[in-house]
Amino acid sequence: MYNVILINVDELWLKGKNRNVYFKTLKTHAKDVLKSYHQGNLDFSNILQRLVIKSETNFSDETIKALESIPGIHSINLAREVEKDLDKVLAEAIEEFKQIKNKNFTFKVFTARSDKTFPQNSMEVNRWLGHHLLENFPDIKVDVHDPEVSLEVKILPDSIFISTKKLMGIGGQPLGASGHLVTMLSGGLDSPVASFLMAKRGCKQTFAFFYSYPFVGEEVLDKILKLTSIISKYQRRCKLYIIPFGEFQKIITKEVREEYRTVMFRKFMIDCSNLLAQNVGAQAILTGDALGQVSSQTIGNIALLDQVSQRPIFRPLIGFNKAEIVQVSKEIGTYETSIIPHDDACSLFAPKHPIIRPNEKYWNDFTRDHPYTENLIKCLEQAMVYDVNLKGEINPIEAKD
Amino acid sequence: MLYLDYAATAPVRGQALKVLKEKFTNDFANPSSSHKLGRKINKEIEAIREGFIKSLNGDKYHFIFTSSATESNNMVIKGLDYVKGDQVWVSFGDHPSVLAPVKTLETFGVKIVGIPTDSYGRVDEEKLIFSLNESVKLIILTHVNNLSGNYIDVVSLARKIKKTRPDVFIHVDAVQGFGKYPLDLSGAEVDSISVSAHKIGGPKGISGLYILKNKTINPLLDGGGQEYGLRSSTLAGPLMFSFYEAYKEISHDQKKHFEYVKILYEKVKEMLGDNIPGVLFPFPYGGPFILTMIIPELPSDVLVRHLEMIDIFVASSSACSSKVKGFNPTFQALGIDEKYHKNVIRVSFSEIVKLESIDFFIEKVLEILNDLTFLKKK
Repeated sequence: MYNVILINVDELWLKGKNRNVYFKTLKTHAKDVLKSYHQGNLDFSNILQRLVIKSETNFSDETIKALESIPGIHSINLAREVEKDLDKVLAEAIEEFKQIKNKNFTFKVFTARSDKTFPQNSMEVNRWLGHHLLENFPDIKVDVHDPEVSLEVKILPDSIFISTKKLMGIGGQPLGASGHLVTMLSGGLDSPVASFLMAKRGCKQTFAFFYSYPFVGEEVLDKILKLTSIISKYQRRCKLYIIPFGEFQKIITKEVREEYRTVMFRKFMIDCSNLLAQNVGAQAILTGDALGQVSSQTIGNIALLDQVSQRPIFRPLIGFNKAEIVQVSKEIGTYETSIIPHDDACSLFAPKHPIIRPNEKYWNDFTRDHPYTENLIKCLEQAMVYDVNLKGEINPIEAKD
Repeated sequence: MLYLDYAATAPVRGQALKVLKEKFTNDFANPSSSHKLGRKINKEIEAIREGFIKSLNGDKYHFIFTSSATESNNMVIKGLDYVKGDQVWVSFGDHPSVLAPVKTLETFGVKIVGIPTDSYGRVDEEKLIFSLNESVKLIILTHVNNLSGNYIDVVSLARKIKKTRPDVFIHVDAVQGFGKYPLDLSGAEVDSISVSAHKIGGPKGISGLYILKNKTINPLLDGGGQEYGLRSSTLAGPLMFSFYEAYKEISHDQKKHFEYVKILYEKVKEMLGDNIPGVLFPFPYGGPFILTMIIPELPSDVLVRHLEMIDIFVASSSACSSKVKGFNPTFQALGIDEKYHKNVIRVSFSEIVKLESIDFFIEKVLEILNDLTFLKKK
């Protein structure tokens, strides 16, 4: 039905000299997505700070949905391209209005005339179209301040675009504009939400899951793959590392004081994530921590973990309540998967009384005497690596012998 | 590989596999065909049918081939004519292939009644006989329970039931005991018996049902009228021959096999009982083919996965229902306290398991448990 898409870029007004790079990053991402979803030729142009995409064939709902998930897109207008003839514009506008289910809506016509040679000016076009639309639809009313339907008309040098459909994107910054993170996934509610929030801020991500087999079963892997598939739609192709951790956890458990188990597991996961970050060129680590949610997310434990990490740890959920996290997870579609029950290695190993205010000396002595670097490197080498494409399809990457 | 999950299924025995291949290759014709090839196969199938019957002195029975014991159970349970208010008696610790079809009868106004059991999951025979009433239509007995290993002398119990209520229909699920325990049908005490090939080293996809010749049930499958009109479908000749081959092999030295498996069972029970602190054997009257144990504080899935890593395979609960979360109604019905439902391990044996494999198994289990002591909360 729609063969023209106008993409409005978010936060472009914040940008100065890097505006071009910013715009280009988003354009390549959109191009990439369209190429994998859309059949038919595509024509890209920039008009008035918007990205305009034209095609001979109509865009499917699936394609448009995929575009909506691209970070940095403020909104998307679905448009019809019409010859530069107001009668034809009116005919198409009538078609457009006929599709609106509610019969007695309020509307407004908003014309932007970038082709100044067009005989009527914007106000005249607004008035003329408004008048004729009112004649054709006796139940509708004009409301210029808060219309239910806004008919946008763009008069360009070669044609006119009309549109009533505006879809809101997720906004934020184009992916990659803010660097690269290693995202620690857990299979719960929090980490996918954290990933989404940072995708919105333009962070490309590599996903890491610490797999405690044989302490947990393979069913947790299905969950991780499903979650990765969902959140990868906010990425532009990404990789998932399933890092075997069970045997190593056994080693730590035997050495460390029981009450330090959980926080020490965290510490070594962060170490391992830093090693991975080094390999893939990521600048920071991302976790789903919310302050005080569990014992390893107290200020004391967070402070210790921050000290050991070579890279900053991003915790976008730090001030979120659980209900708020649940809310976002429902919006991004990870909720249903996150709540599927699975064996949890943490609860299996969990000490009766996990440490809340860790003893710094014990911590420092232990971490100094037990770097376990070789074990961590081995864990990473044995990781199963998956490639996630633009459609969220996951395929294992053959191991390099 | 060390496989100790024979109650779930067994590998196809050598001779049974040979027969399977031979029959699929050469005697593949449709036994209903009127040509020579079809006639020959049909005759052979009738001969093995007779073999199944003779082996249990079941002259008063038809032997019908089905695709699975689940089908056999469904056939009988759903095939009887019920009137509103009829009762079906069943043990809630039985297999889902019995419990699930029984559950469907509720929509016809049939009442499901639990067979009285003791705290070890065994049928309380006295109480059962005592509580019989006029409305009981069908009683389902499990010959050997797949989790507890509890054995019922179904013939003797059926005799007692029929003394009080001669018209009640008694169906036996004999999947775990068939070929392993003696069963004499000469007195025609039970009305039908489900048996399966794959639990005794036959192929999957073939099973059977013994049913008294004078009893009628409504077929699930109508068609060409095979199996006395009780189950239409092209006869799966090769599977049938292979089933019979496996059955001959396991039942031939039945007593010897039983005694041998008992040695395996007792060895595991004794060695693990002596060496694992706190281990429980919830079914002291079960065995010897099935040994269920509880290791408190150790989730059974964790042990199962540690064992699978070294190619040893046991079960953490019935293969059909094992999944993530805690409460298990079957365990509950068998008398296992809910706090142990995640700690149940089932080891099941066959006469093809070597004694030294059992030593290896015991050694490895103890080694793993020793390595996992840190999981015990202080």
